[in-house]
Amino acid sequence: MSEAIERYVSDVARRLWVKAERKRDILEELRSHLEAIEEAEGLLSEEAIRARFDTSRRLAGRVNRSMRLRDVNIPVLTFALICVVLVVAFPTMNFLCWWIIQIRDGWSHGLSAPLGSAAEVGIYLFLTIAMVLGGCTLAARASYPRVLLYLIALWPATYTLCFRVVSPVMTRARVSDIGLNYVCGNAFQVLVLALAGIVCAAGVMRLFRYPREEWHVE
Amino acid sequence: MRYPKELLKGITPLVIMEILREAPCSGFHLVGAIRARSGDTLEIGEGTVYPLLYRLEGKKLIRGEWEAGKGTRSHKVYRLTRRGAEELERQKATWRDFATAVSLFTGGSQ
Repeated sequence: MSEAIERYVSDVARRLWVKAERKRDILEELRSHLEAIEEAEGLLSEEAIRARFDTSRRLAGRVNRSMRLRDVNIPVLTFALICVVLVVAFPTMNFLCWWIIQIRDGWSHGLSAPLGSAAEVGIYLFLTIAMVLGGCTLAARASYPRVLLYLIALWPATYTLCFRVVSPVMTRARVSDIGLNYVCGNAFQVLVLALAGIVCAAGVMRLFRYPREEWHVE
Repeated sequence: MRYPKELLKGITPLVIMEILREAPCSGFHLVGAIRARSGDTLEIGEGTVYPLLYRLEGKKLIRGEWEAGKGTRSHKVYRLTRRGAEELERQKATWRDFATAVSLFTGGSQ
């Protein structure tokens, strides 16, 4: 096998994003096909191979515009869903904890905290759905407004940072008044949410950038 | 001659399945067979044929199996499945109806 074929196959292997078994099969077939061409037509240069095979921009463009479900990569989708669950899990746990505390203490804490946490769950859920749908819509367009997508994805983290860390600290004279545990806990939550948001945004972009089973992917 | 992509897109699965109905074929030979059978009229490149083969295989209309070649190189040979044969007949009937309808506008004879 010529070096040009080896280089091209390695390049496709790097860019092809499908299950390992399927990937092996596709690459083996690509290699076999290129060798058959060389046998019939003589040695191929890498440029000639690319001119003949590499239609990645056209394919990727078509996939981005049409956003078909069959092009969705299942592992990435699963990963994105896990991220979404992680984002929603924190306020949900907070909400459940408040109700447990209320039931345990005979509703002596009033309704503002449990209702507030319920509203927070709603806000997070709404933001998460908006984030995923918005991200999918944005990523489906020909150009990738990455910054905007990341901003949407980082909304939960920004929200927590503003309303549960910065705001309580700024409105009180000392951190000890509101409790160090509260600040640190929420700061940790900001970090987790930011990480989940970044991963989720990256996942959404990758989801629609890669056709599921093609030789020619970008 | 190069035809618009939109035209080729509709008939490529039919052309591929028809060639596979006659004899099992590898992707490499399929590309050549399409050109040869159409008298060099249809030029459907590898970048179109292979993704389409994978899609047809995914729909179980064709089946691919690795076979040993003459030398050390093995190649994947595609065959039409029974479901594929039924689908091919359906597509051919649709295409005939469509061509008849279009010819009413273009003035071609049927």
